[in-house]
Amino acid sequence: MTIANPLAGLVAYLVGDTNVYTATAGRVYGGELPKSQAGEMPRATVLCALSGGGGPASDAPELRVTCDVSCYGATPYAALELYLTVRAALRTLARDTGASALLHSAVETAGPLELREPDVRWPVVWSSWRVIASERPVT
Amino acid sequence: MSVEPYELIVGVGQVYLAAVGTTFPDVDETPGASWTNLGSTDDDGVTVNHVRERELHYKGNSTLPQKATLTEAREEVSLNLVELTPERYAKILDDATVTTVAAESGTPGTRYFRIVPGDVQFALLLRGPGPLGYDMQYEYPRVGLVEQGEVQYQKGDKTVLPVLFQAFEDTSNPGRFGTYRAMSAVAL
Repeated sequence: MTIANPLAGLVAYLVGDTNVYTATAGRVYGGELPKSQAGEMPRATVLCALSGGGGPASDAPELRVTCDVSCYGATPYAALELYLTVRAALRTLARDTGASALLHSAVETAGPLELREPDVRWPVVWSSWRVIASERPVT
Repeated sequence: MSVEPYELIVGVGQVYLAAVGTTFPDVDETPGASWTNLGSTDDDGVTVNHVRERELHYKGNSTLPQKATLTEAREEVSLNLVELTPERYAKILDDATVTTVAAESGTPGTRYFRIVPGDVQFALLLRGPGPLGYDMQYEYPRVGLVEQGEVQYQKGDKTVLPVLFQAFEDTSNPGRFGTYRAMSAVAL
């Protein structure tokens, strides 16, 4: 059985959102930033990364993943503006698909938290989302 | 559209009310102006409670039940409204009429309704995500409000209006409460 990739689905969903795409020029990444982006930072960029959390104990084919969503900007204010754009997209996520993954829902469980990346001092607004996705790919 | 993986349902439902006798919209149609959308609910969403009470029957020489007979059946839809517009509030408060008063010099514009208790009935439509890749809906031609909970204005949380609708027998179809309808294919 092939299991749909919830992180790829979430990235595809955010890239597909008109407002997020306009704000980031499509710079939404999963896992970590590509090396090619590092020299251009800080600028409007979204990074989604899985951050643990418990899954269901049932036999239902669903994934419950906790996802860190980090929104970068040239300034703390720009990062916050991007966070609000991303939040609007995730708040309205309901039965959407991305990269063959069916995303049932996204609920913000923590955040927003304004930070600077410890080593490079990039402004970032962090939030944590619980995403429920189907294990079965949409065919 | 493929059925998989939509049979696993996550998501909230939307409740609409209209006058008894109003035609239900197709499951792919946005309900028209005759339907009042009750808006968002709190975290608990919308609950459909299929109550069936059955009496167990035993025969004299056995301790095992032999059959069960239905003695009472109820269908209940409950939710906690959080978007309390005057129109929604009036609908829940016994279908009161909202009157609009335009602003004039020295007096503000208002929308008001009189709080007059009564027994009212509605047609109820519950629309939500379905198991076949599209929406589904519950159609209850006749429901009544049997519980309108307290409204609490408070500092620490949003104000909610809890309501519970009781479905009544469909007078056009005796023995039936209503219909569950899941969309399976787009219209041709």
